[in-house]
Amino acid sequence: MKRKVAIVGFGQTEMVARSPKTKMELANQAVRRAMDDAQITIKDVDEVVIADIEFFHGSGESEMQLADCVGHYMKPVMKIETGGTVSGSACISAVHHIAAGACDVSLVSATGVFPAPPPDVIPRGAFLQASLSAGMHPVWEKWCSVGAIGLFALMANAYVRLSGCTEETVAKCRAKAARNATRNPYAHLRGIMTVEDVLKSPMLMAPLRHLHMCPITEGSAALIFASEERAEKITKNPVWVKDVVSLHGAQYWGALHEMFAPKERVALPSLVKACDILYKRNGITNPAKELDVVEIYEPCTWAELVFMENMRLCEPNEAWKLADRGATEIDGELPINPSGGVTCTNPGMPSTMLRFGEVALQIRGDAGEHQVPREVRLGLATGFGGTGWTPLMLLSKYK
Amino acid sequence: MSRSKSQGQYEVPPSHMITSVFMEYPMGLFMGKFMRELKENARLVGMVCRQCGHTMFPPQALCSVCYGENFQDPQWVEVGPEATVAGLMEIKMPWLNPWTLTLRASQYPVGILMVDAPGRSPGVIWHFIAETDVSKLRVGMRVKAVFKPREEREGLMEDILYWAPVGE
Repeated sequence: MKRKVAIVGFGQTEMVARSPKTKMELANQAVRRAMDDAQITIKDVDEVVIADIEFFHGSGESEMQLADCVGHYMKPVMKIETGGTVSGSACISAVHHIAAGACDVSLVSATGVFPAPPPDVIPRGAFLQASLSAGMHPVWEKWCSVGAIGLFALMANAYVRLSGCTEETVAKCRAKAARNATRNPYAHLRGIMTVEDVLKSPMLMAPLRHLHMCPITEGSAALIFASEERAEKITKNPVWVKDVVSLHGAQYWGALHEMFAPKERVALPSLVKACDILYKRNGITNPAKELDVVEIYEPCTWAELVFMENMRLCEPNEAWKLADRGATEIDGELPINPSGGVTCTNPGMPSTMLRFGEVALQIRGDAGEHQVPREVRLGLATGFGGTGWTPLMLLSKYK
Repeated sequence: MSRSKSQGQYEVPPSHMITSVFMEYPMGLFMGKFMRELKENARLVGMVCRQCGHTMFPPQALCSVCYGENFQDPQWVEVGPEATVAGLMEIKMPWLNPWTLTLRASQYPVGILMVDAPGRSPGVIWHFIAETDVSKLRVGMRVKAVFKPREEREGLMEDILYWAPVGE
């Protein structure tokens, strides 16, 4: 990057199943919290980047509706729409703007609100899975409308077959996420969950159970990025963006053979390649040792395990053994998702940004009860979305 | 909702909007031919990329692997009707038929299928498998497309009724 860029502010709303607030009100709350965190006002912000998937809200041109609440009146604004990765794409875009010298302070806002038919007309989960399928080819794949659950059931199925991962380990891993979320005041599902609870939860598509899958969450998040000069004036604790990578998959989900119909190991090809690029560019040879904390976008518990392997945090088909012996716990040798992750909180649009923001909090030492009990110098956050896209952000305490 | 009350706000019912409109999507030149063959002849057709031999199923002008152009003289091939099961979804949750926005009654599992094709890669499709007892299904088993009768086919993926296991 031509100029150094840092995170100087992060804000999020309390995440809930259904918020009484509008999308604009939620967006505003997160933006104000991010500005409070950075101790700046909207006057200090040069540009706004909005991350949105508009059809989930059933309205278009959200940059118009959001103008007053996010605060881009008489400011440059751009909106990005890239599916589940959207807030990752928006953050990476903001980083590029600053690195290229186009501006010095960039505010990124993402809000998830999911209007739906009354639950007695169409169940909310089924409606959202069909909505997710709206991104698919209208003729070829959309008709099936199994959404993310179908895809991850395929993946989980393959993972069990190839790795020998047990249901108990997955349940343990889910219970770990729940335990972490109880320490995160913003998380959506904040109840203790036992291995028993997970094992008894209803099967959606074997081997994927209800509690393995992320919830439908409403809420908003905002991140503020600044150039080196401005970041050092704004805060004593800037979190430096060491590197970003963003890679896309093919058009059809069916094209992701390595993820849904693998022969030896389950792989999300964009994640494998993005990590290769990022590690090489930053001289990371042993990511499991060199990274102090990792926030993975895991739409289901199974994905946390598969993505760990794809990120080379362990050998292929071995992640479940690592998780089984507690290595990924908040005080383990490689803490993964101390925030509770996506399986505890998934507001969709802000979810990738929450991963980036949570790593920033860990590096600053501001994660409160879910702070990793060690010095956090280097952290990696991932995003995930259609069609098998990966945005990555490597964050560091030191320039 | 106790949260909102404690903030001095009152719970009010949400507004309602009824949005039931028929949408017409263009089928496109290449998918159009696929659908015509499916509807009229119960035949599955795809394309093999002239540049790299990748099977494009559904057919399209640009290869997703090498970005080779196949607008001129596309290499049409018949694929299937047999396929190998590569993965299974045993659906136990409520799910929607997006054409009608009603809950599906189907008990059929959905499989990800590697369809026999002459290119260097198989065609990939997901579709129903005729066997509802999933304990009888396994990855690697062979299935064959079963089509609806001509008068019931309407140019949708559901014109394929399901894929039935073939004897081993």
